[in-house]
Amino acid sequence: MEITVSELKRVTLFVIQGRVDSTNASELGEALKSQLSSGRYRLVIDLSGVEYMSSAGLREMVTALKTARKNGGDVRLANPSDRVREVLELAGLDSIFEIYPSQVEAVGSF
Amino acid sequence: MGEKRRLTIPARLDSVPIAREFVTEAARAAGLGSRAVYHCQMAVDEACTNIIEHGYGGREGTIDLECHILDDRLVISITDDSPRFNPLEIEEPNPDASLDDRSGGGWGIYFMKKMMDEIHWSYRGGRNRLTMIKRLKSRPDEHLRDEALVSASEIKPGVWVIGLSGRLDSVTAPRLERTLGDEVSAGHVRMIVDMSGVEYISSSGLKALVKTWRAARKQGGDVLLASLRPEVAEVFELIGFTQVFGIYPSVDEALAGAGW
Repeated sequence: MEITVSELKRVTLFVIQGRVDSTNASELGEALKSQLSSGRYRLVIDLSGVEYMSSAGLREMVTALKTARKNGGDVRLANPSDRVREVLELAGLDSIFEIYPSQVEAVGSF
Repeated sequence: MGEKRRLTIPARLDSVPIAREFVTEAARAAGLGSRAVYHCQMAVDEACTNIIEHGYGGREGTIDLECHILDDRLVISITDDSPRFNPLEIEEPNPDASLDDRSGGGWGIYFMKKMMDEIHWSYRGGRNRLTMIKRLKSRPDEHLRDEALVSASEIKPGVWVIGLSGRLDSVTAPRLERTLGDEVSAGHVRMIVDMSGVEYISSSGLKALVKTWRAARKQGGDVLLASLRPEVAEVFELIGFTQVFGIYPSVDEALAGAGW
C-alpha cells in the first residue's frame, strides 16, 4: 500500500494505491489521524488505486469519519473499484460515506 | 476429488498476504471468476487475521491452510492451535447501524459469512478448524444477499447447531439438502437447526429437512428445529410437521429438551 497525502486549500486528499489489510491498515489510520489532529477535518480518500481492502481498512476509515463529522468535517470517498464497492455495500457503508465517481467531484463537493 | 494444497504460516500479521496469495492461486486454479476469487481472499484474510489477533493474541503459533475441490465446491480449511473459539457464535454487526452505533468489531466474520457459501467450525484434538466453502458455479440470477446461508458448529461434543438463513425454496433447497446430507455422512447426526434467520420455507425446503431428519434418525440421531419465525412456524403447523420435528423456542431449549 502507498499513501500520497496532498494538503489542498480546503481539503486533504489521500490517494491510496495497492492493498489495504490488517498488515498495513494502521498506517492508513495514522495518516488520517495526523490530518485530523492538526485540525484538518475535510478529507477525501481516492480509492481508485485500491485493489483490495479488508475490514481492517474499513475500520480505519470509519474511525476517521467519526472524528471528522464530530468536528464539522467529513471523509468522502472517490471512485472505489467494483470489488471495494461491494465490500462497502455489504457493510452498509455506502449509505454512511458520501461516495463520488471521481477525485475531482469528491474534492469539489466540499 | 482434486489434489490438496497445503500451507502453514506463522501466526503473524505479516503472513496474512501469503495466505491470501495461497488461496488466490487455489481459487483461480479451480476456475472461479475474479469476484469469487476476491471473496475467497477476503474470507481467508479475515479468518487468519482473527486467529492471529484474537486467538493467539500475540503469542507464537502456526496456522494450517488447506484447499481442495470437492465436487463443485472449493473447500478451504483453516486450522489453528489457539484456545477454543467459535467465530460463528459472535454476534453479527448490523450493516444498517448508524455511524454512532458502530463499534468496529465483528465485521471480519460477517464478511466471511456473506462471501462464502458455507462456513463450518469444529474443535477437535485441541484444534480450531474453520471450513469455508465456495461453490464453483454460481447461478446468474442470485444476488449475494439473497443466498441461503448455512453455518455449522459443534456446540458440545457430538451436537451440531446448523444455522440457516434466507429463503429455503426450490432454488436453495438442493444446496441445503446436500449440505445437511454431508453433515449426516460426517456422523453429525444430532443436529439442532437454528431457523431464526429463515424468512421463508417452501415444500422443497421442507423436503430437504425431512430427508435429513430421516437419515439422521436412521443413524440414531435426530434433527430438532429451534427459533422459528412465526410465519415459518405456521407452515410447519399447517402441514402437521410439528408431529415430525421436535420444535423449540431456542437452541438452548432444544438442547435441554433432547437431553443432549
